[in-house]
Amino acid sequence: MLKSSIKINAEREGKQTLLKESGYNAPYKVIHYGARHLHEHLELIIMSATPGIMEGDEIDISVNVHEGAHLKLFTQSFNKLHPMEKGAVQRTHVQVKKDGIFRFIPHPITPFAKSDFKAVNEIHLDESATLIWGDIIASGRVHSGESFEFTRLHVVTKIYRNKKLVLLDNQLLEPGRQPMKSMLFFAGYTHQATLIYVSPFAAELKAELDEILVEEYEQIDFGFTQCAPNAVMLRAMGDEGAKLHDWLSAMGRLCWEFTRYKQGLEEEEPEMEQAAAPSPAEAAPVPEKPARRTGAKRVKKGAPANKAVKPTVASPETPAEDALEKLLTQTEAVAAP
Amino acid sequence: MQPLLTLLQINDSMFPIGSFTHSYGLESYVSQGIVKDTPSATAYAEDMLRHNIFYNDAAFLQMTWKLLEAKKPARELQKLDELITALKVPSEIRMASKKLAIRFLKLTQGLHPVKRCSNYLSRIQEGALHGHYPVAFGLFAHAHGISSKDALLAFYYNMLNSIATNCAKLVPISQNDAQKILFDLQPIIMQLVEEQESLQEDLVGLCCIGQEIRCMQHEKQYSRLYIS
Repeated sequence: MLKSSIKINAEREGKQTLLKESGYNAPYKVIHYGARHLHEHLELIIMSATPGIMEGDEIDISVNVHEGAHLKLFTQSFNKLHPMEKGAVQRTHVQVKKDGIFRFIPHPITPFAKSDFKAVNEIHLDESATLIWGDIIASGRVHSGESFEFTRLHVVTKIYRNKKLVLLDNQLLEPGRQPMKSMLFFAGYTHQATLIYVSPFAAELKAELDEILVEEYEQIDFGFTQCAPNAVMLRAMGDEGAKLHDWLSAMGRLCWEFTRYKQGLEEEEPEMEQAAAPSPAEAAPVPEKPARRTGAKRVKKGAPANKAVKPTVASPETPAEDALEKLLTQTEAVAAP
Repeated sequence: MQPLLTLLQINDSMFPIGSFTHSYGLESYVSQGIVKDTPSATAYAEDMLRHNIFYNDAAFLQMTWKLLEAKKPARELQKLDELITALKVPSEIRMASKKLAIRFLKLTQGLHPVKRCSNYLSRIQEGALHGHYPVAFGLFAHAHGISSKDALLAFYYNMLNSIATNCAKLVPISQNDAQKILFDLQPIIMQLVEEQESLQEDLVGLCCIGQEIRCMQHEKQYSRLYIS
């Protein structure tokens, strides 16, 4: 029964985004993901010393992305919810100020049998701020034959833009109450995923997606829509958590690059089709020098074949064990607890 | 006006507000072969009532009613309208709710003007509010002495009638089977109406992810008969 908190403050200094006045307590740790000066933006990873969320745990996460700051926040591994009676809660509060960008696409939540979890996310955005937010929920430890045996999983995400509620995603999964396998819910799949993009550039991104997401992806059943004048939502179902996480991360990278381009920070328009390919892209931003991804390139009509292709990292499906270990053994923590 | 007759009229599937042009994702289910016969159509209809309409449109109608009973200020109605807009994620579903609301309000204004309905309509037309059908229906029904229970029963019936009719046209299933769905699911409607008032606030707007994805996929469906 742990009460823990994570506080992150990302501030812009010159061209760089730096971590300021942040803190965390056991079992969590927030450290730089990879080399600190590799990017102008800030990349952080939340690590945990426990095997997951246990009975009675309460986690408070607060993220402040200040004016012009750009933050990518990563997670270490799947968020495992252990068996409980009274349940556990997680409250996340995010504030993104003027021209800020915040990207958070955590690993899937895996609810074990008898787990009971409520997560409430409240996100406040300035009019010019951008949010790239994902969540993935598994039906359980599928490979151990445990599916929909949890008690309850309730994830509520409220997004305000200029103090006005623009999006409310209310996801309750309660196998005792709802036919989870039926056509209205998981439709026979074992995982569901959601990606939300709220940004002044959302309508333009939607137009790009209309061109890119025309084909069907193997084992990913998805749809997307303009869910508000300044928001796009993509939802998907599938049978593999890692695959959905890779895909969502690739889409998240596309959103990130598109936003930076629109803000005038990238000179070249991102190669949208390339970025949307359902291959591992950002699941683990390995700190080593990026290697150009090999394999067939699909070229968007009229665009120069290679010009805008950003080097992507050939990374394994989940964060590479050795890369993770390096991170874990790093003694330098970003801030004092 | 006589409340029952008014309710029958505004709730009629032939009431010309364009509801027959919407399938709310059913067209995707049919084209993907998921809803394909009477048993799957029945399962779809029952699950939609229990897991979608109960937490969404019927709950919004109930919330409108509560605001009116408590004589809450217009600001509260604005908040409700914003909440519904934030919850209706697929754009076709959100727009269906708006279009039906506008047609309903315009049509009923010509029958018997109600001040709160006219206000709602002008706020929608100004762009200050989005506009949603369950709210419009609630505003008018409440002003005509219809009971909350009757309004809800009729509302569920109309939703189910539209599902059954669409299944008869799209799947297709026989008209007899469609009518049987409508008749056999009566106990579920009664149960949901009984439970409507005690629905917890944090469960309003629950999403059915599979259904929502089908609604989104409908935007890209190549050949389609329905607007949503």
